Amino acid sequence: MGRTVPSITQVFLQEEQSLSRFRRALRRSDQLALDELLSLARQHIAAAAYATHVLPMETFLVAMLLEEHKEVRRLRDDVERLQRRLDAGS
Amino acid sequence: MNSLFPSQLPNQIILVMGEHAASNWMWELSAWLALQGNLRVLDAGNRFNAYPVAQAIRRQHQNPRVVLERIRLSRAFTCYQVDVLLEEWQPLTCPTLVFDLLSTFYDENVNLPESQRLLRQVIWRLQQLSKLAPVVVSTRLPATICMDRMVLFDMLKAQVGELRLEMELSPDDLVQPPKQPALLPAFETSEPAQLQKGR
Amino acid sequence: MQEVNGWMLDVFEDTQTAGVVVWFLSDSGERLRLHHPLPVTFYVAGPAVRLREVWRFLKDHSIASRLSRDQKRDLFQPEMVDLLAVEVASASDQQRLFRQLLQEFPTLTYYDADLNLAVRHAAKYKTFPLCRCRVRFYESYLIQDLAVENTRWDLDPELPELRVLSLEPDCDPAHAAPLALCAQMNGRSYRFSLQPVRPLLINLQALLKRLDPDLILTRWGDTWLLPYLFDLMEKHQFELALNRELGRKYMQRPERSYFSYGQIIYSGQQIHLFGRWHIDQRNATFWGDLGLDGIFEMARVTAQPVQVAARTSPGTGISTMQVLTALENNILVPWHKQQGERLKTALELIESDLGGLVYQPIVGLHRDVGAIDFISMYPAIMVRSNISPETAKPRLLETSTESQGLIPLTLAPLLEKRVALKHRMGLMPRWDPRRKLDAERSGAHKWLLVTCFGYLGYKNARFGRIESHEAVTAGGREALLRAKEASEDFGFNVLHMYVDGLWVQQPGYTQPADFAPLMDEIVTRTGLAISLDGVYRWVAFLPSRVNERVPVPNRYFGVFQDGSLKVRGLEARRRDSAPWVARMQMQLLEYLALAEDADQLPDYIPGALAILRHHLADLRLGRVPLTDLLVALRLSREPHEYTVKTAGARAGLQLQTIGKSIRPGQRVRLLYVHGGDVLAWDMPQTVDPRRVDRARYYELAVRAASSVFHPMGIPETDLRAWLKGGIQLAFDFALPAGKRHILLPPREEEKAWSTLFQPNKKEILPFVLMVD
Repeated sequence: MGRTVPSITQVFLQEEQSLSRFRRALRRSDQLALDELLSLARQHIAAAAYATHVLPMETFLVAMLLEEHKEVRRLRDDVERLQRRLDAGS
Repeated sequence: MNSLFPSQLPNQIILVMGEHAASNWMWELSAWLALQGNLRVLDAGNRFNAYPVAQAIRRQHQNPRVVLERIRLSRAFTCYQVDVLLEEWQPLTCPTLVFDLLSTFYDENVNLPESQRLLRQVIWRLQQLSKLAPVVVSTRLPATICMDRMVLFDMLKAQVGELRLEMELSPDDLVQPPKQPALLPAFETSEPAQLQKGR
Repeated sequence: MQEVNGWMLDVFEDTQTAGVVVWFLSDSGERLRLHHPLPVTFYVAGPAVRLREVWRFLKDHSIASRLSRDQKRDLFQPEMVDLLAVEVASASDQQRLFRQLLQEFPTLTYYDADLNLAVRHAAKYKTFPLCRCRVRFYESYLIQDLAVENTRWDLDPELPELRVLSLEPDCDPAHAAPLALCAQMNGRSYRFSLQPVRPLLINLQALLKRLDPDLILTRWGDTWLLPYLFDLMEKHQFELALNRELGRKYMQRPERSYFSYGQIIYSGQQIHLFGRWHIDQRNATFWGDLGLDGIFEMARVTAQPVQVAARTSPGTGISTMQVLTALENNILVPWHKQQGERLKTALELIESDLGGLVYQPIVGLHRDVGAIDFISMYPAIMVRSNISPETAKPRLLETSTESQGLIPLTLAPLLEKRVALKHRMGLMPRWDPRRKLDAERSGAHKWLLVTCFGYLGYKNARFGRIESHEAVTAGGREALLRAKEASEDFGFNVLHMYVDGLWVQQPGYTQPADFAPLMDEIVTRTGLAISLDGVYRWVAFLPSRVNERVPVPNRYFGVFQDGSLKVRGLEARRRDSAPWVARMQMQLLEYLALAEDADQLPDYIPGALAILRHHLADLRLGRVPLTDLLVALRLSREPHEYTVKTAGARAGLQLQTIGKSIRPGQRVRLLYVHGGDVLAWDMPQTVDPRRVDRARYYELAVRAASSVFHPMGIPETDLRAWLKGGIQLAFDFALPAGKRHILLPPREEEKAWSTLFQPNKKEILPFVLMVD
């Protein structure tokens, strides 16, 4: 028995599609970065499904932000660690 | 958005045809009507994708969560269910939308005379509803493998009201840039959408 | 008057006298044909005026009926319904009468109008196939009294010794014309040449009369053998005693393609016998899973006749069970489902039209992972929260104070039996001979339970209701999330979640006992039964075949602590893989499974690579039999309907040119040959092995192997390069972290392979990456 409202995966693919013109006009290196962002968002697709937001794209954007923030924290930790080593050395 | 739809829909059965039973147009219509008030939807073909409706509402700078609540719908998966649902619906002053009405009547599992009998009844019920408010029905032609079902389409076509719109719309048509500054609540396109009147 | 104990085998309409035939197997070994009257009642509802017209219509009708007024319950109505009850002595008369009433009075509502005889008999007498009963009958074989002594739910029912005759052609009729018929019974084999015909028929008849089997078990019996024999019978005017019932022809159902769970399924035509059972192994649903014992269990639990249970979908089984429960509880069975959905807002639609939660796993190799599953989650939720069309919408995972609804009433004993058997199998040692029997019976329960949820939302289900369907998935999502929260509260990492199961891990937690407190907590928070599928020594979650960055929920493989493998979504498990590829991959996995724990896994990589190279060498040297290279692709439509001619479509078209019919849902077997072409397997000509496109099969094997080696830390490009040129392979093993070097000098084999890949050779053409 089919569902009426598309699945979150279908919606995600549609949003990806709707970005295709934007993506096309980007430089190749930027295209790859955009692809990475989309992959990151995809990791949280189950949570996006559960959220049942009326405009799912907004949830995908938060998911991207979430991943970016995790990366920022990782980098911050790395920087602090390197900083300490530098200070210890001098 | 106003350019897509006449400012006032008449109290009649309006038949609409198009790609995928004119789903894109019907979603826009659902949003437009919901922005103005309550409406009832009978989804007879598993077509009511709420997301484009939400997006259309958002494009009008309204809160989709609030506006979507004004749309009340029921899904029917067999023609018997279509009949029973319409039997239960009291005539109200809010519009009624029926998505892909004939889909379940084309089903080969129900024999043709039975489909015809039910459709006759269903059309009568829609006519009752149309006395108080507009009834917009979308449909499509039967697939080539069941052309004998064409009689159902002809039956429906013969019974609808004066105004019949047939439109082909792609999603790109739905988002028009405003020609004038945002002081005016509605924006207009440079060309009016195609209207084909006739029976 | 005689009184006999034994088993009921079958019940079907008696065409000579109104009522049914009951085939009975007595304790003394007699096969008795008894007669049982079974009047059939159906109901009409509607305005009183119309019902009076119906009354007049029926009084004057040539088919006699007993009419009365009654009141019964319709699940979808709040009040009892006023009914006109129509009782007819014979089932076929009832059907005719019903159809005529439908014509005359199409607007009225009908109940209990199109139910099959077996379920009516079951409702009235509590019978079911192979039930143990005591029967008293007259000299005329008319049953006076029938009492059933066991139930559908017994864990270990007493079963009779059945006489089983195996019958099959000496080869696959789709592939080549058979020359002989092979029969087997009681350990003795017989072989009958198909030509000349008369001796064949005479010998077969003698065999049938002497052995008098209860069950004729065939291969290709539905689709070829029995139609062939019936054809011969007609041509040679020879009445073969395939039926035990004299003067009855067989019952035939046509082939069909139908849509189920997003796939087109093909079911071949069916030949049912009377007085005996015919089961075709090649046309029985889930034969591999169920076997004969599973089929008998399916028949018992659903009360469907054995020949029907063997061939129908579990959805039909569930429907029959619901109808039976309705009849037993005086609930009317609607002729077709009418009720539509109650009005909901568009917002509510978005919030409720949702399935199970499907997560993306953390891709890669993990060690010491506990796999926790809810036991039959959706049915358990249906029972716990009393979800049924007529009951109130439950609060998530809460129990209900209302009396038990029809659906939970139907499912509860089945669920109980499943849990009991599963528990028992968990305690049984591996060598216990009862394990296989329990497993096959469990298979029947599993399939029924898996289907019952989907059936709740099915448009044609008599007792379906979409709101109930949505309530179940809502409960499922809630249960999974509570399990996740419990896991995280207890310090576990959740590696993956999928609808009704989750994979959790915590450093230092390696034994089942370590997971026990968490399991208890999950049961407390959800109220549902769960089980620990096992603790994996290691498990690998794979990314999508198409995009490496994208995890997929359903591709993984791992080894439990007891050494058993679990493999999902890989070539080894796909029905369309070439057997050679599947076998190669399984051997890789089985070899890796020998590692006692994740620490030892790297030591087994060289051996696994050697297995791969060995299989590739077999391919290169032409040592792989052609049948092992057959790819069996399923067609979702007729071959000519494909706009892009896929490999399967092309093979299908080839078969059509020699007059073979290909229906949607059927599989086509083919070989990949040079030039990017395919060759359908079941063509009359023999295939020259030199035509096989070995480079293509090499590709398939390497991709399958890479699925296994990639999570271990060997990138696919490195694997390919090493295979071709014998470079020194060095890689970071995925866990524990660390570089491992594998040194293998170039060998003759590698040099020989490299000749296959020279760009100027015309045979080697680029091919399209196969799509899922």
